[in-house]
Amino acid sequence: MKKNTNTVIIFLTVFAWVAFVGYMVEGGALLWTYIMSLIWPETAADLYKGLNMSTVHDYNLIFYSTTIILLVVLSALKADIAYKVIQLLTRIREGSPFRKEVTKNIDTICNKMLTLWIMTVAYNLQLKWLTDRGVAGLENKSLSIEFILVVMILYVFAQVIMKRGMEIESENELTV
Amino acid sequence: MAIIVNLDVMMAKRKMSLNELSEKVGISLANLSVLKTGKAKAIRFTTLDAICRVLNCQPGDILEYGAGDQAEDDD
Repeated sequence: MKKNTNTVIIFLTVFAWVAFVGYMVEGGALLWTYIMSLIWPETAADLYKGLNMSTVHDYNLIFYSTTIILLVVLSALKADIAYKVIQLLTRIREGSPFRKEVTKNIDTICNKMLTLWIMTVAYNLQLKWLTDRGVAGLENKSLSIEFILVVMILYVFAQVIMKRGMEIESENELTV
Repeated sequence: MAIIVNLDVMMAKRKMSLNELSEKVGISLANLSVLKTGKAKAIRFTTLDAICRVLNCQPGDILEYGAGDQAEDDD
């Protein structure tokens, strides 16, 4: 069973690394194409992975900038969370999972995911606001916010289960 | 906690060092030290059984309830 768990953790670590690199590339590419679009406006029609923000660019440059920068920040946050997951999985492989550092790591991931959710909602609200003002082509560009359920479950896990696990672990360590 | 561990008293009576006790009982020196210094939160029956067998004593010789200490702690 332990060998299977280790294998799963290794697989998840690799997956987290792929996600980390992917989000870094996404953020970097978005930032680069945004800078290019300031010089060559036609670039706004084909940002990273075919993202078309040309209507926003034509509407108002400031709104266009805030929208793209929000997307870059969201990618950076996702990359940061992926990196924290890598750190968490590495710590779990090192020893007992019920340690202060692991709980702190999970708390950090929870807080960052909550920040990600708030920023995603802000992004979606901005898109809706722009759509209401007549900017076309933004209907299918809003991002999913359902992952708040995962944040809530993770929070309960960190606050209740991990803390109780730490208490039991500490008692076990002082049991002879 | 009001449980007093008198392991050092029994070890002195049997003229046994902590190292020797650790080897005979099969518990690490660190764990025995935790027990001896009163920092342990729990003791397994298997451990108590091994200690009593090696030191040829009763559990009451090793463990004592200090009601007076508990009262002082409550104050």
